[in-house]
Parts: sequence; structure tokens; C-alpha cells
Amino acid sequence: MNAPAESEFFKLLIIGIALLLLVGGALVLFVVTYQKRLLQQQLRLREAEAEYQQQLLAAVIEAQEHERERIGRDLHDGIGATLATTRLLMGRLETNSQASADVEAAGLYTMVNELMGTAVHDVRSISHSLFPAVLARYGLAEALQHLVDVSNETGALDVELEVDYPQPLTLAQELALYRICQELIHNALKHAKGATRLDVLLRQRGPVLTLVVEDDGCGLAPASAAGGPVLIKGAGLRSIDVRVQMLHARLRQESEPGQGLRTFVELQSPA
Amino acid sequence: MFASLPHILIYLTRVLLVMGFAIGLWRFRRLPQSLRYITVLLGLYILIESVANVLGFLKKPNLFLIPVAVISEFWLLTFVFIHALRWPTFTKVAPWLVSLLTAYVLLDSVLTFEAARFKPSVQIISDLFTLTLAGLYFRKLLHELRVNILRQEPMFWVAAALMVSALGDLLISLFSNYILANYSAQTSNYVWAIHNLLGIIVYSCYGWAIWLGSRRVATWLAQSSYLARRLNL
Repeated sequence: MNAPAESEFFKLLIIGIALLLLVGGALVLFVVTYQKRLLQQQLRLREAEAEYQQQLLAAVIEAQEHERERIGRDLHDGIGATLATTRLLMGRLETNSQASADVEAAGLYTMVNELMGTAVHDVRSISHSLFPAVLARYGLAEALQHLVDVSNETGALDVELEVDYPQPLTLAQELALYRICQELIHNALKHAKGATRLDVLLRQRGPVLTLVVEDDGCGLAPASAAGGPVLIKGAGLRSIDVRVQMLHARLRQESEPGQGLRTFVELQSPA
Repeated sequence: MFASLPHILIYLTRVLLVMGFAIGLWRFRRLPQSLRYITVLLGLYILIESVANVLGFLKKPNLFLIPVAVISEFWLLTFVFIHALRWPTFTKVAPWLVSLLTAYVLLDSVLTFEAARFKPSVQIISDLFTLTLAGLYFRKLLHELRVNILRQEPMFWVAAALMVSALGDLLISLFSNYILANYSAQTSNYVWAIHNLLGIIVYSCYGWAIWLGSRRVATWLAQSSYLARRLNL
């Protein structure tokens, strides 16, 4: 068989090579566009997952707060009221025993009365800690003031509060911020060895609302602070982290050994 | 006097080959392992090209160098893709497969030794092997979705260049001896020019990949050293 004419063969070869090059180019183009599409799908999926997690988190916290509120009310209205009534009745019995000049019985009644008084106080403080009624009625600033007053009553530390909070958040956000502050104060009272004072600051600067809790205690070990990631160890710190996530806020801790601990929670507040 | 297009393409191919190798040597220590093998491959191409030119200048046949180039390419590209794919099955199977192909090429070269003719079967096997490697890399890209911007991924450029050039080279490999036997030297030169055009694509992409790879490692090193300073390490 004779070979085809040179020019004809060359033309066919060029067309063949061009077609194969086109196929190669198309394959590369397909990989690029398909990979981009898959990445976008993956991104959308991750966003949806993150949003779902956020909703789940908010729902869990909301359920937890409802349950706390219910237990707090039950304690306050049920056991608290019963104890208060019993205390009143004990007071009447004490008056009667003094009238009948039974000295021993009068002493016992006084002791029981004091114990009942302590029980009523404890139930009230537990009830308030479970659900801060002040927050729902008067807002975050008043609730923090009440929290600071209660903390000062323990006498462990001198707690000071400074508030500059002109644009209130929603009740759910205020409650989350209150819980964070409650946990930070509790941590300071428990772990800030050698601390003499504790400052709580709630400050609004433009669109940023900052909560600062600062003590002058023993501080954290270098690995746990100094601008590094916050180590989430105990249940309390985990609860802070969850609420920080829920608020879309940023948690930052600064500390040096023996120089105290400063915790910042920063969030965008509505303009 | 103006040089003809085939000559210009030959010079351009050589310039790009040397440039890619020079960038690779300059940044060799900063390069990831896969791109180091690409640099070695470019160096080997320069060596083979130089020997082929010397033989050509002495009017001696140089096509016997093709099996040497193909075997070296087999092994170096396999090492490149072992590091790029990080796929245990491929790491286990590839050396055996390449050994088998090497044995075939050696046997073919020894049993039918022809210093003045192409070896279409060897060249086609080489092209198909290259296509397989590029295909496996693209499969990994789509399967794992770890690369966010493909144009910034050095190995994407390597695989894309290999895919396009191997497909373009298939017909040239298939008809190389036929053209040599039946048509004029001018047609052979034109076909050789197309081959050089494919070489230009490959060497530009290799050079670009090496440049990207060295920059990416440099950025990563800068970030690490910044973090180390921040953490007082």
C-alpha cells in the first residue's frame, strides 16, 4: 500500500494532535471546574453544619436555663416559703415558752429559729443563683451589681464593679454574659490564691462590648495564658467556652505568674 | 538573517529547560521532595539533550538515547508521584510496575538494537504511564479536596503539563518511524517542532511549579519562625 501524500498526511497528523491536545486541555479544565464546584459544596455543607451546631448549642443552653429557672422558682416558692412559715411559727412558740418561763425550751427554740433563718437564706441564694430574677426584671447592669454584692458578702475578696453599658443586649445574650461573669467570679474566689481584690468591668466602646474580670492573685502558669489559646479544663471553663461560642464572642486571657489574671470577653453588640 | 520557526522552538525549549533546572538548583533545599525529583529530571534532560546534540554534531545516530531517557523518566516520575500522591497502595505497587516496564524497555532495546530508528512501543508505553500518573493525581485532587486554589498548587501544574504533553505526543510517537521512512526531512522537522512545542509547555509548567513550590515553603518557613518568636521557642 502506498503512503498517503505528504501534505495530506501532515494535515491529518496536525488535526489529530490538535484534537488530542484539546481533549487534554478539556480534561484539565474539567478537573479545575469540578474541583471548584466540589469545594463550594463542601464549604456550604460545613457552613450548614456549623449553623446547625450553633442552633443546637443555643437550644441546649436555653433548655438548661429554663430548667434552672423552674428549679429556682420551685425552691423559692415551695421549700423557701415552707421554711419561712415554719420560722414564723417557731418564733411564736419561742414567745409562748418565754411566757411560761421554761428557760431550756426557750434556748432550744432560739437555736432552731437561727437554723431556720440560715436555711431560708441558703434557699434564697441557691434560687437566685439558679435563675437571676434581677436580670429579667432590671437588666444586666443591676444583675451584675447584685452578683458583686453577694460576692462581697463572702468577705473573701473586695469585688468592685464598673459598668458603662448604654445599649442593652437581648435577654438570652445578657443571661449568657451574666453566666460567664458568674463563673469567672466563682473561679477567682476559688483559685486566685493571694488575691486581695477583684475588678469587674463591663464597657461599651463603639460596637464592641467588653467584659473584663481581673484579679491580683497568683495568676496562671505560662502555658495556660500569655496570649496563647485558653485551656479549657474544668466543667466551669467549658461552660464559659460554650457561651462564648453562642455569643459569637472572643475570649482572651492575660496572665503572668504572681501578677494576677485578666479575662476579656469581647462581642459585637447591636449598634 | 532570520531563524526558522522550528529552530526558534528548539532554542526556546532549551532556554526553558535550563531556566527550570536553574530555578530548581537555586531553591533546591527549599523545595518539597516531589519537586526536587522534578529538578533532577530536568537536569537529566539537559544531560541527554547535550549528549544527543554532540552525537548529532558528529553525525552519529543518537536515537538509542530514547530508552535511557524513558527509563530515567519512569523512575523519577514515579518518585515524584509517590511523594505527591502519598497513597500506600501506589507506593507499594509502582516500583514493581516500573521495574517491569524497565525490563521490557531494556529487553526491547537489547533484542532489537537500532541506533537510528525510534522505538514507538517504548514511547507509547511511556506516554500511557505518564497519563496514568497525571490521572491518579487528578483523582486524588477531586477525592480529597485538600487544595483550595489549584493554580497555586505546584503539582497541579506538573500533572496538567504531563497530561497535555503525553496526549499530544501519542500520535507523534506512533508515527515517528513511519514519517522518518516515508516523508521528507522537512516534514520530520515540522513534527519535531510540534514535539518541541509540547516540550515548551512541559518545561514552562515544571519551572512555574518549582517557583511556586519554593515560594510556598518559604512562606511556611516565615510563618513558623514568626510563630516560634511569638511563643518564645
